[in-house]
Amino acid sequence: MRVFKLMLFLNLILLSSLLSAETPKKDPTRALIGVRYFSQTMGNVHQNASRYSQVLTTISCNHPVKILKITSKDGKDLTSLGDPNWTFVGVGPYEGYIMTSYLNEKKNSCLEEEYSKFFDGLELDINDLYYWARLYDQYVQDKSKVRQ
Amino acid sequence: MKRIICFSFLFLVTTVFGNETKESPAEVTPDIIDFSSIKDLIKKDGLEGELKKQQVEKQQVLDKKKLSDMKRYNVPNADEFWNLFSELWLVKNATKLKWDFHKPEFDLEKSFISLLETQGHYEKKIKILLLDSTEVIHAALPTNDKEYIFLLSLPFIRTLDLSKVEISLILFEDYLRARRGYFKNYVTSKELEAYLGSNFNGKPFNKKLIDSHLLKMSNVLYEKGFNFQEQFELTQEMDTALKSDLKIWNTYLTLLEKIDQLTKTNSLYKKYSQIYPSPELQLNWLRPKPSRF
Repeated sequence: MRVFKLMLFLNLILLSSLLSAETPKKDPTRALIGVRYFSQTMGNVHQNASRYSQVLTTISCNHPVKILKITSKDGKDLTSLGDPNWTFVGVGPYEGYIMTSYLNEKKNSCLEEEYSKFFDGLELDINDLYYWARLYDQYVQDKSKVRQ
Repeated sequence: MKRIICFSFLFLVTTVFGNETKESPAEVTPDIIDFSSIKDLIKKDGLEGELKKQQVEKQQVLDKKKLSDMKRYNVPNADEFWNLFSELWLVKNATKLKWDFHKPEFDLEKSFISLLETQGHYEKKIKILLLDSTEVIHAALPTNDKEYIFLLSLPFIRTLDLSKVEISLILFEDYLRARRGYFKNYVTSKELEAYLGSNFNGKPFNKKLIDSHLLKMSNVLYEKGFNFQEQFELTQEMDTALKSDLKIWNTYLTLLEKIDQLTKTNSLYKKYSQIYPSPELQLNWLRPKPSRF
């Protein structure tokens, strides 16, 4: 519970920085493709498809995100920008980019949900939550293949 | 006289009727139903069974809620704990390690995964975190066997001008060290092991235990490092693993020579031999012994 309160506070701080930031322009051709769930402990929604781009909001595991698609008048997809590593999403009032590999179609088994009191006991402050989300921006990840 | 007879008669009447009413209380309180008389009827209707069923269901709901409330106080088991704990340590040491910085895409993960697969290590998830400092040169943090977290100093890579293969070999050495559980053994304690997988419902959360182990982890990575025996065993394992490909085995040897030279000449890396003793010894262990003839 404490973690969620801190998350809310973090979002409020990020909102102030958002006021100066430009979000993708509203377009009548935008469409909701589906809903996915964030699969990591913490993560950020970025203004652009880059891990170093401005952070719009921070989300925690199992947070539902709307997958959005914006197409231009001539039918061009303006959201994916040809990079499959990033997905254009809507989270609350924010619209931005999130790493595709961090999204799941189904709800995940999240440690902070399963061990909520343990997480509360860690007494993570706003700084910790910020860095935990940044950690998942900075990780370079991969997985070795299944034995043939 | 007549009066006396009249009173006596009235007294007699009240006494007789008064006794009769006491003997049959059912007639006084006609609202109370004697269920014993309709017990068989209720049994036939199955109402008693229904009541019991409802009571059992209610109890089950209460038990389930109680159990779910209790589960919230569970401590992660060892398999889940170490990854979480290592990330917590990274979060708490973010400013010292300087991992939150803008860096180029090296595609290190691809070359390292390729090496892992060549060596027959499948289905291993890797997370590499580059550091903009020399506080930790390279390390694999304690995790479970499915997922590994690697730290790698970017200034170190740049100073030695390491190739992707050489970087992969450093990561592979860390990977084997983590698999052997050396790091975890240094950090863990009997108290922590007993705490993992337990439940602290009704007790305060043991934050001191977590904090003290975070300090132990810092001590291993910043000060204490690993011992000679561990380094020897690890070098032997690297030797065996890489010997099938002489090209890569030679690359490993060259890499150790480079590191040995750096730690002896650059004061920024003087702690390296203290943490991983020592590149010079590793070279001695690896180099073929001169023949007597």
